[in-house]
Amino acid sequence: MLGQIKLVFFFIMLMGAGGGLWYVQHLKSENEILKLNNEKLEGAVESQQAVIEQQLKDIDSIQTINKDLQAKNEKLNADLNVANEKFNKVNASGERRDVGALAVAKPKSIQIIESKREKQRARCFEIAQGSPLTEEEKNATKKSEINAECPNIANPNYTPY
Amino acid sequence: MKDTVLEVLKEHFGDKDFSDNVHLIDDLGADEFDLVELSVALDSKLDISLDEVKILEVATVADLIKLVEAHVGSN
Repeated sequence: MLGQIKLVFFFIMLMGAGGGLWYVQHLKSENEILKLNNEKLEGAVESQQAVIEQQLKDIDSIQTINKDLQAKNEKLNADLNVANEKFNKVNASGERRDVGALAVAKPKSIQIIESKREKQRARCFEIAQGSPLTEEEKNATKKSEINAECPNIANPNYTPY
Repeated sequence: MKDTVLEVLKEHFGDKDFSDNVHLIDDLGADEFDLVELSVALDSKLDISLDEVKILEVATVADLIKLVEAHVGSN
């Protein structure tokens, strides 16, 4: 009888040990999975941080580009005002310029001027769209050397006088 | 002749230095339309017809006087 009880206890203890072993193995495998998941999450966090840093850099670049565009736009507006003033210039005798009358009196001259201005305007568009300045444009300091249509963006070393 | 040119320059630009080597664009602030206006004024005063291309090639006061003299001489 005692032997049977011992045997029962032995089996119970054996089953308990087996259960415990199985539980520990189960915990270990769960732990491994959790570790792997944690590593993946850490990797994801790092890549997200990299993405956020890149986005911050992009925002900085966009802001810089916006500022540049705004400055360029202001310069173009100033040039537009200068161009408009050319058609309404008043001389020392108080006579306002009449380009229409000049075109009638001296059509060839006006045609040559307009042809030159047209080329200068095309160059202005190129510069506004990012074309680099030539050495000649950079070094222009006299009014006779500048692009009369957009000196503010085409001739950085020219100061109107 | 020179006096007429200087008179036209004075009417157009006011009381300024019109020495021979003064540059119409760089020193007097003229643009190409000013050159055409000067050309029209000189044509009218001197009863000539200045060359429409050559007037745009004028740089200094001396150049302008020379161009006018050449035209008057040829007329």
